[in-house]
Amino acid sequence: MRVAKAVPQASWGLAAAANLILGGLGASLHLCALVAGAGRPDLPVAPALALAGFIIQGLETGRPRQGYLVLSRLTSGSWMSREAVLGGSFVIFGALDWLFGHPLLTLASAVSATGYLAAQGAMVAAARGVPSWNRNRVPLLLGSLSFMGGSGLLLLLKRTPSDQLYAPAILSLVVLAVDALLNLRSDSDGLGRRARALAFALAVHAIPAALILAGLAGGGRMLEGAAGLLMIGAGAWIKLRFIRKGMLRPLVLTTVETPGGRGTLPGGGAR
Amino acid sequence: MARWAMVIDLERCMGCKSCPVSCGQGNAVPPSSRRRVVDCGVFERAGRQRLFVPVHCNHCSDPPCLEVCPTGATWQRADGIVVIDQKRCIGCGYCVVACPYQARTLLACEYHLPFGPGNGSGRSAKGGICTKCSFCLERVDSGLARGLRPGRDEEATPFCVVHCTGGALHFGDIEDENSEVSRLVRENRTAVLQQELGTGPAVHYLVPSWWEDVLESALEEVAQE
Repeated sequence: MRVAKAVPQASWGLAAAANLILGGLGASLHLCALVAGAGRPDLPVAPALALAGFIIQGLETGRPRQGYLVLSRLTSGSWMSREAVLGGSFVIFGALDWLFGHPLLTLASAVSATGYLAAQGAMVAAARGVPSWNRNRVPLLLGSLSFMGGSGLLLLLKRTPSDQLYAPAILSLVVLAVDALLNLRSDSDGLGRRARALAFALAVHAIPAALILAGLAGGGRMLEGAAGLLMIGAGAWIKLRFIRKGMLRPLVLTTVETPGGRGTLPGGGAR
Repeated sequence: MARWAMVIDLERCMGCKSCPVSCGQGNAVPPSSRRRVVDCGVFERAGRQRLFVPVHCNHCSDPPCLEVCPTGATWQRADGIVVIDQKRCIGCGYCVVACPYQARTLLACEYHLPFGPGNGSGRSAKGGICTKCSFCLERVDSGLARGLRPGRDEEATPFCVVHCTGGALHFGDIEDENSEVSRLVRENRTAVLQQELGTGPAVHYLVPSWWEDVLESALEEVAQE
């Protein structure tokens, strides 16, 4: 029997969402640039974004000066510890890669960026108190959203035209479209809600995809820029809503079944 | 080794909220930050009985909050009590979203002005970090050190149990077959919260005699919705 309704979670707010948005944007921008062969960045935008995410997150925690303690549980299983260490590594290696451009530093920054993205998703998915987060496909969803934003940012920042730049953008849009369809299928709260979800899915997936395709067909820099902005905005907005609209699990009281049936021994109440 | 547990008799609980109040007073935390009483309303089919369910940390055998804590501030003692180390907690809120029992609260930062009346300087000891029920472990430990028996001797028993006006709360070692909590669980129909998650809660509820009517009322409400 349900004794308490689901209530909105209040402990992770704007700052936590900003950490996920900025960190994901930075790490995926770095990876997208590497995958698309866009070369070494002119500015350390990617690690700076991740660092900004951590700083904002630090402002939300109650005791930020004791933040170093997150390093103490790296091996014993907290995804927040892993996220902090991998994200910190990405900030350091990403900045060093921008400064020196050594292949080993590029490799280290790519590995840490990948781990950071995975840890972000796993961290959210490990929260068992929020059913909408505590699902297997949440890391994939958050990772895809990060890649959507990162590839959008790359479209905005790119210096030279390259068809390869579109690959990560299109891939992330396809993954997100599949996820949106799965959500749509499981959403049984009524036609109005479904219609809104469908309209939203079209807006954030189909429009950028169309803009990218138009850009591929020689539509010009303006179309690519518009697609990039839309992808960054949509990715950030979905993440923000995903975190802020999380509901704590309703409390359900269930009788413990015993071999005797009703759970009462013969002869028995205690009262 | 003891395994401390709480048994809550739902037929006796009358929703007076003396448990969150005494908890807040005794532990110097805001009332309802560590425990609260959920009012489930009046059930027509059960003769207009009103059901109250006290809710707090379940001190699970497999606590979801423990595995997510990034600093090791949340840990579990050998006797099953899940503890927050105030010196290590950074107030990140991860345990709050990981707890399936809505049992943890982040306390707001409270700064005491150095020149304020009766205060030292800096932040209060509990501000900005997480809090939850600890089964009043200080009372349990000091009581045991003095040879008292938690659950039977008041000085070694959690505040909420001592001050429960309806006598609905019981505390003791569930591993001890002769303890009151052990006997209550053995001889009565019990329920637990979030059973499907398999966390092994140490808080057991004795369901009231009119429980079947409550369930039917709840089903009717769901059908009407």
